[in-house]
Amino acid sequence: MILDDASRPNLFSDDDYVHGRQAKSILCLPLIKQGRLTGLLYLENTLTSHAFPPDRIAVLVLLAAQAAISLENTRLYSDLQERDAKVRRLVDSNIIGIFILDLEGRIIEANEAFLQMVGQSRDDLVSSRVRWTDLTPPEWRDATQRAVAELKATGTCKTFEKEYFRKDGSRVPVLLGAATFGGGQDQGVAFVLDLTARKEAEENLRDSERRYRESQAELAHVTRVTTLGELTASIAHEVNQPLAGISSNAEACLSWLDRGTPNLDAARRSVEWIINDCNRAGEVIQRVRALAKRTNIQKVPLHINDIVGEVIFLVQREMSNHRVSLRKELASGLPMVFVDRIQLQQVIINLMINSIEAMQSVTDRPRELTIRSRRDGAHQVLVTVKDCGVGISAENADRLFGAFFTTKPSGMGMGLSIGRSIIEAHGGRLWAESNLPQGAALHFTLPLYQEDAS
Amino acid sequence: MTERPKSPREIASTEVPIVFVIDDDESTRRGLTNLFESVGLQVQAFSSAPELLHGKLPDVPSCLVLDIRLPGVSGLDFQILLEKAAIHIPIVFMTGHGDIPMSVKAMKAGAADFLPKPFRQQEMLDAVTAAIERDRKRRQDEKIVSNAQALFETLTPRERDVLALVAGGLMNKQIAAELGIAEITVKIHRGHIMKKMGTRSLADLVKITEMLRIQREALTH
Repeated sequence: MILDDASRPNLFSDDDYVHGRQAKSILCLPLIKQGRLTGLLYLENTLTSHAFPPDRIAVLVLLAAQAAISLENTRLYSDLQERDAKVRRLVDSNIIGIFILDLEGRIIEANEAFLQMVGQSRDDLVSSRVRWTDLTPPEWRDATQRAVAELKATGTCKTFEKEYFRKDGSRVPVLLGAATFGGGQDQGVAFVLDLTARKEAEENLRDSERRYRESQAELAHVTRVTTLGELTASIAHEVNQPLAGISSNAEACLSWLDRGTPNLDAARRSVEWIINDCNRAGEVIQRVRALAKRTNIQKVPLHINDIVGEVIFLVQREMSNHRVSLRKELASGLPMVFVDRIQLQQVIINLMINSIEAMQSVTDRPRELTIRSRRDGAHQVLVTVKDCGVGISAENADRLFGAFFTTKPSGMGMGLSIGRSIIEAHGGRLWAESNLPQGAALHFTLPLYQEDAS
Repeated sequence: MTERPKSPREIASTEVPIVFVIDDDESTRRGLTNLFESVGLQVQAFSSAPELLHGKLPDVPSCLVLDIRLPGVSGLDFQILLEKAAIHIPIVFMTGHGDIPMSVKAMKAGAADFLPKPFRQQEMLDAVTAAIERDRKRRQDEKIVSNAQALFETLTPRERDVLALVAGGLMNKQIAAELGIAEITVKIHRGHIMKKMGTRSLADLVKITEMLRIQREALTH
């Protein structure tokens, strides 16, 4: 737009600026870069009109085009500076480790966070002594190679965990992600997160979990041994019986042989009985040892009635000492359960001993303990230990399964609490209810063994 | 007993004694049975006390080897039960660890012996032998008494009167005066009494009478 004589009335005569400046000649050219208006070139001459003849305008148009380019470049440059500052800020914030790498193994640039992680100085970096390939321990090279391949193929690699050597030879666990700069370059940027704290936390957690499990196992062992202690007299008796038999038969054997005419048949029979009794004593010891042995959980498919039978063997003397009669209601043909034999024995022994003790004060009715097994629905078996003892008072019902709850003067109060955790660890449930009209009934369920699961 | 009463000398001591074993444990039962049989005793073994009373007890010297702790009726309970039923079989108790109060009770109630488990087999044999001997003696005494009783039953009322006075230490003359009969009659009665009672001396007669606890008062109504 050109005003050859701006003093003459024109389109902009009312404009305060034009009016106030009293300009004689005015030229205004748009600065256009790639079809976009980026600015205006405005020239005025207050001395003379017709100051912008066409030849000058041609020069000015050229100038305007150059100015538009320069303006654009300036803006681009400041944009770039701004972006660079942002990137710099990101890199220097040292929140995560960042380094620029090439795929050959060089580290071109790295921030403080990364240098600290790997314990290297900036001097080491500048002198190119640090290669990321050398920082990678041998057992992580495969994973790293896979990441580099991915990087080459797709331009980025998924974050993965690895370790770097520190300068002092120790290792730092890291989470690493990377991207190439694209355009066929073999350079890229890697983002590195120090996992030391997280690993330590995980380790601590694992440690405390392991300690917890160990203490649980220890406690279970203690109660098992305590239960065992309670059963010692009974077990001693169980061992003494066959020993008494052995001793009698041995003496008898000598007697048969010492006769005027030795009775060899009777002597042989005596020895056979001795062998019998030896085996029996051995079996008792075996069972006791199995009970006392501290083993890790070993789940195997078992018949619940077999376990019940073994427990009855262990507590029968205790029952007869307390004048308790046993009623067995064991369903036949039950499917197997997948359990740890010793733990299950412990639970059932505990329930039975509890029942026996609960009936200690009963004098007006037969002391009867019922143990029952049956199938409960399609997926589990139900075992019940029932007595006609003192029962469970309403106030105790809730606390029954808590640790250290006991109504017995010598009890540790761990039995039911551990029993419940054992059953729950087997995927079952253990609960108590009153056995009307007298006593208590303790029930537990166990899922059936499925061959395909486990 | 329907057999003819025997004089004390006729009572035989040749029957094979029986040991009754009551223990709920099979090994112990079998071992003891074998042990006693090996020394020539008869044995009957039971797993619970009441089983012993199911059959009639044989009429030979015997003893009972009893576990003090038994399921159901305990050894101690059974001892009392036998006492009440007037079955005087000597009992050798087998006791376990920590059964001392029970053992004391058993001994007070007249147990022949008690052996804490584990015991030596010889101790058991000794205890059983002693118990059987005791039973043999008791049975012999019992037989003598019951035999004497049977013989006593054969006396006439007058002869019983005379026997009571003889045992009371009275002279023939005194007896005659007491009963208002002739002294010679007393002598004849005494002869019959000696013969019927199978005694050869006055001392024997007095001993038997003592055994029968014939009281003068009882005879003089």
